[in-house]
Amino acid sequence: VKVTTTIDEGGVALVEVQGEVDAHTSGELDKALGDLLAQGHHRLALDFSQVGYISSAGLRVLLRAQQKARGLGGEVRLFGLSSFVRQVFQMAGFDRLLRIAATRQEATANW
Amino acid sequence: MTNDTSTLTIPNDTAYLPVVGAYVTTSALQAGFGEEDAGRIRLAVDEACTHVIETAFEPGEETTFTVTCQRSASGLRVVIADKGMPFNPAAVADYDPQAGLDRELGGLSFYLMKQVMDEVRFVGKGREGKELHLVKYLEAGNITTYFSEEELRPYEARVEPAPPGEYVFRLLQPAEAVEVARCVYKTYGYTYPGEHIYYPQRLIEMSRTGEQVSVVAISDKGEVAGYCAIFGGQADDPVRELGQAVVDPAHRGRRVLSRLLQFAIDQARARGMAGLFGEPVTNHTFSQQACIPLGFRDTALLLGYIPQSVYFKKIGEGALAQRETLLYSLLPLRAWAPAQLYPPPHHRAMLARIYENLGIARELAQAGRGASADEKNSLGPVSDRAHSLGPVSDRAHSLGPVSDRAHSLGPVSNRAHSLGPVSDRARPGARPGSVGDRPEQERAHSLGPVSLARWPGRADRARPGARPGSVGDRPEQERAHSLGPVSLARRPGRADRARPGERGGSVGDRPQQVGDRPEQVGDRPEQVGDRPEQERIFRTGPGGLALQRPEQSVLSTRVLSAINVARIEIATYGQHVTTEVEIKLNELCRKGIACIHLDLPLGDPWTAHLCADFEALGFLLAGVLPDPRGQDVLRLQFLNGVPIDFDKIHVASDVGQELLGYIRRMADS
Repeated sequence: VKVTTTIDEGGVALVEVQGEVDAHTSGELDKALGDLLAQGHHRLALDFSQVGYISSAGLRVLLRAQQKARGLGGEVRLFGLSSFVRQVFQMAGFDRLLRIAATRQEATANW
Repeated sequence: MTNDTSTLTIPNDTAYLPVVGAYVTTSALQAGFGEEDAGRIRLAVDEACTHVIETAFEPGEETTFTVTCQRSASGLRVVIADKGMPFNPAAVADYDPQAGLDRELGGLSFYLMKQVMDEVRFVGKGREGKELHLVKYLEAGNITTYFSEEELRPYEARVEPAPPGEYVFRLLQPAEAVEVARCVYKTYGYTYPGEHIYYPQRLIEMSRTGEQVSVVAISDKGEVAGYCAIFGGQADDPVRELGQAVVDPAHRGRRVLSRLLQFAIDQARARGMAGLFGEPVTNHTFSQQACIPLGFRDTALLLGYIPQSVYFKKIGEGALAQRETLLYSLLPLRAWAPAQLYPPPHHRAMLARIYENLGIARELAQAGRGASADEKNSLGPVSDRAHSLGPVSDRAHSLGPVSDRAHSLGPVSNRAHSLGPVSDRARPGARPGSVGDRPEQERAHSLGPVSLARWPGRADRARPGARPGSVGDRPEQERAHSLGPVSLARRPGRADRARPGERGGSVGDRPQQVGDRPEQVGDRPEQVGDRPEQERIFRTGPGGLALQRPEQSVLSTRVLSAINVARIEIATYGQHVTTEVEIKLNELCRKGIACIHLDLPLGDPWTAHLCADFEALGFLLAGVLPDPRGQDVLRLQFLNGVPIDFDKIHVASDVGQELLGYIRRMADS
């Protein structure tokens, strides 16, 4: 996966994820999110519009990031989910744990 | 079928997961699934492969495993096979998708597999490794999508009989499939859940490929008057189930059923099958009475085995509370290979009666002569010897083929008095390097069965090592290790591996729950067919001595969730098998499984000795499931709080009634 991060004026980290998140690639995402959180960025908006596939390994990473972000008073949000990724979230009940926004605006606003 | 099967061999490295993904997606699309289903199947296989890569091997071990895609008439079967460590699916944690942020993810992988696939099933292969079978059926329209609820109402007891006429009996034609599915539904409701019978399109495909042999009775007006099928397992299984029989009430009383069944039997014979079995209900005897003249013979009674007839709309309304008892009734279609079996002494007479009635060649090993009835484990003369060595019942357990042992009792007991020397003598054959620095006394136990040398050529059957639970007051664990040396030496790199139950606690939830087809003999070939390597090692122990049971049992568990039944199958008895079974039993009970079967290999002398231990856990005899290859199974059954009203079990055959009375007496005592 390719992970690109930009921090907007409001301090929200916009994290663009590209590729497939499986047990092999989830480590990269884990590190990228972990680094951001370690740097004090706890409002993370993940752009998943270029993620076509995710397995439970990816879900684990997202849960861990959400736990840390919440602990810091922030949150992980996602937007742009493909129908497959959305299905996986629903099956696993992760749509209850992470806010899934319809648009980037919704994901980056109202913290 | 072979044209539709392909196998991918990949390294145990997550970097190859995309390769698996592409392969499985392509296979799913070719099998006729849409993009969305193909993606979901990919997810399940990805999860399974990740699990194998992350848990099955030693750290740093570089090896490969395989993913096989097998397209069948009804969908896609993906088999992930590895030769890594064993895995206990029952130990997988539950996953709760409703839980909060602190949720446990241990069971997530298997949860997703089960969400996506129609069947998720583990097949343990002992030393050969293990397989995970993932099956997804093509959606082809359940019978309820063809008819209204009104049209699917159960048959009325009284209907206007059809005008008299002739019937034609023949194989199903595609145009009749929808009507057949409706007949079955109207007769049985949803008591064949997970079966293809409710999907006319599958029925057509499976009948075409031979996965199922579907037989119909057609009236002279062209109506489907009746139907039955040979089904379950694999098309080439030597024994398959004959059932799903229905006769439209308007055509009853005209011998349609028996002629249908006869036609199916002729089909089976023409296909070279070794036998058929049926599982007639016992709330009435009509189907039993149809089976008896055709040659079916009762060999087991399965108490509370299926939920009472349940219709779709009733599911979840408590209709499962009452459970129905079935008979297992077998029809051999040709001569079966003779076999030597080791029945538990206390059940020998009943089993002899069953086999005699069935008329297949089976030699039942005799318990020692003069055994008193109350010594169900200890075998007559054996008890003399037992006094010199400790608890009677314990000693009895360590005996191999009973009849042979009885002849060599004297010398054995003499030797037994001098444990130290025995171990010394035996030691050269026991790979000294592996015995290491264990205390003398421990080795004595591990090398006990010196007398086996007296029966060259029989060592393979005996394996009468000291039973761990039986010897004195040392803790179980320690004794287990004292019996290990040979297995350690012969299984490099494996002996220190986790036993089932030690692993897997963190991984996934209950995959074995998903195989939801009612049980069939044909479903068992993986376990029963080839004895695992592990066992063969012990048959050819050093110096020609058979030593003891392997440390680890080879057993598999399967839950048939649709009928809430579980089956534990033992392929090889390990040293702690009773404890292993007890743990499994407890797990299954906690999960609310209503009925738990324990299948014991009757060709293994240990069955004669360990059966009573399992009965002490609360298992009752069910009967035997004979096998054309001689790998007969002794089935025990455990009812988890399921009430059985024996007065409401109706059995037609003499032997069936004897078996019912026999089981009833045991249940009462």
